[in-house]
Amino acid sequence: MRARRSVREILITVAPLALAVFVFAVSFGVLAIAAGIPGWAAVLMSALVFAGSAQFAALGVITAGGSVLTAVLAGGLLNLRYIATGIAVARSLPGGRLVRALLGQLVVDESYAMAAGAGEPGRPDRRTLLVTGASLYSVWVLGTLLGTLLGPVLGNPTRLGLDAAFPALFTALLWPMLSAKHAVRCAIGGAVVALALAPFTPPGLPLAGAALVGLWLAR
Amino acid sequence: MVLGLAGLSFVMRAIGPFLPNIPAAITQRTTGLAPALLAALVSIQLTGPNGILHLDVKVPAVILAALLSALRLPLIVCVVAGALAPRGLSPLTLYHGGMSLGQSLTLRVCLAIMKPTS
Repeated sequence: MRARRSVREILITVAPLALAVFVFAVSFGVLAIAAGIPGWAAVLMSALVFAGSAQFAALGVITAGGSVLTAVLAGGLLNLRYIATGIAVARSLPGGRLVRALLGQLVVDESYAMAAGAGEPGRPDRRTLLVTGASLYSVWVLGTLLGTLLGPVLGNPTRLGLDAAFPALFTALLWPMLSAKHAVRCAIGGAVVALALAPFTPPGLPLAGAALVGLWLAR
Repeated sequence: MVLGLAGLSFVMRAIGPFLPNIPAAITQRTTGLAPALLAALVSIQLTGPNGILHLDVKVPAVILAALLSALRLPLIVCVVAGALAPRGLSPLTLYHGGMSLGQSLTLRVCLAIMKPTS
């Protein structure tokens, strides 16, 4: 059993990731303003949706002239994987149904990945999940706000090159899990499905496909 | 749009935690979710805008993070080193904003071959 990490240790670990998420959020704010979406609506979207891929997808549909319904459906499809991750974290969340459902809103790819890495198989670490989720939620909303306010001045913040932090984090979290045979099988299956779907489907669907394959190949 | 997407996202995230007793068969299956999703996330990060694998500066970030993880270094070290790998490589290659690592390495090799010997 792994030793539980303190909140401070979790925050230190999540710091580089939070910085990358912050830059990503600023990008969203900048692009939302450029797409003609009011600043308050962009910030509200980040506060209520808290899902980068879904928000960018909805923004993309709107800017391409799509309908609101199409934008909502596109974003919703990208968030399908959260049904699976919600089931995976259910036992780790405290409180009754309503509290768990509310705390479940802090589950994003990164917080789930961090919690799964810190917890035991099938039981992501609660503290890591909540601290990471709350941290990333804060920087996501603040970053969007900054992006909407300073967008024209900042330009495109993705040029800072912090995006390499994401694959590095996911790799570092995945590696220790590969000691079990079923994990290797699921990892290979997930990667293959994601790569097979990526050229033909919008971002997010490959992840949903990989999640299904992981559930199928487990055990 | 905001409220529609927010409602849909809320429901999707809430379904799992809201269910009273999830059967053990389902929760046991979720042990495969983390490795599959993480491997998919790594793979997706390595694809270009067209969804096809793209050899750019994220590749050394992944390799370095894997290597440091294999050496059992702390997660924070792996992530920071991986994130900084592209910047560390840029002086060694001709990498700049618009050029991938593969392209810059190829260009560098070509220049080395074409360089007149004195």
